[in-house]
Amino acid sequence: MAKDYNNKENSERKEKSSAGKNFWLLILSAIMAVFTVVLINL
Amino acid sequence: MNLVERLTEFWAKFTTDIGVTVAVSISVLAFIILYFCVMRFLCNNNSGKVIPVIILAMIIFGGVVLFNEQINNFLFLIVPAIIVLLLVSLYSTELKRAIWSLNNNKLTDSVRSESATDTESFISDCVDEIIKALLDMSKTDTGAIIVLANDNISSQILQSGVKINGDISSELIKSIFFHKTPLHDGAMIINGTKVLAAGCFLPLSQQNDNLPKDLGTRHRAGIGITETIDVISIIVSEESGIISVAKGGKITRYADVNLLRKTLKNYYWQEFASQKR
Repeated sequence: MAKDYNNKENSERKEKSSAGKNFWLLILSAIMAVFTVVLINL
Repeated sequence: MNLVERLTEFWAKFTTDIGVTVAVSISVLAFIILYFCVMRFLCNNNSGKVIPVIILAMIIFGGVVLFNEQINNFLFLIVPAIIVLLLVSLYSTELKRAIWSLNNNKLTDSVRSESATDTESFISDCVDEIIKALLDMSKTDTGAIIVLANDNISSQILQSGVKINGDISSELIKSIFFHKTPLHDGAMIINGTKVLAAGCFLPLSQQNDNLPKDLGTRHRAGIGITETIDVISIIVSEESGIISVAKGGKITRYADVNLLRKTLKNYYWQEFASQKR
């Protein structure tokens, strides 16, 4: 059918980019957490 | 004794009780979780641009704390409090939505575990009728907007349309959205197994920059209602017949039968969960 759309590829691409984004957010969070704890303990 | 002194005393006791290394590790872990949740929340709400500002503010804050020991107490209390207050007031709607989604997920799981075959067949009938109507309207390029509410639609929205309170059937849905009828231009509100109203006016979406230009007023209204209330809206484009599903201010275009079935089944499980409460 002309209007039978398949968005499987799109959802897979979105999942990949979301995992990459979460990884960088985690790294950034770790740096910020270390910075905060160092600041508190000064 | 003020709050800062109490916190310092607590920290000193905490480190002597469990050891400095363990205490520091726990606090680092707690801050990682806190920062990750906040940044993910900001990214999910199209506010990723705020993150560099927060990092810059932290660096400035750190510098000030290092070089001005006298105002440490003031800064440690006031600055985080102001940031929290600002974030809460700026993202109040998004916070509400995040809390709703947490609550709904738990309810859905708890009810699903005690599922009954009667309920499943009943839900299946409603889902089939809605999907049949949506696919038929998509084939004929009939514009439609259906809002799936959980007893949370405001009376103002319901009063802007015409009250129906009828059972769900594909014929009823198609008749309402037939382009020569007076009710076809507004939204249909479905609450559980009833079509509550049709021809309702919805608030338009506020995210002008993030939405593609080809989305018309119907799509913007469909997204707009999900930004402020925890509902799902299904939109059929009048131009292309494309079916879209909007939830939490986000739209998924090119919805196929599987996505529609999944969305509707999740909605009906939530609906039964709220009835059981």
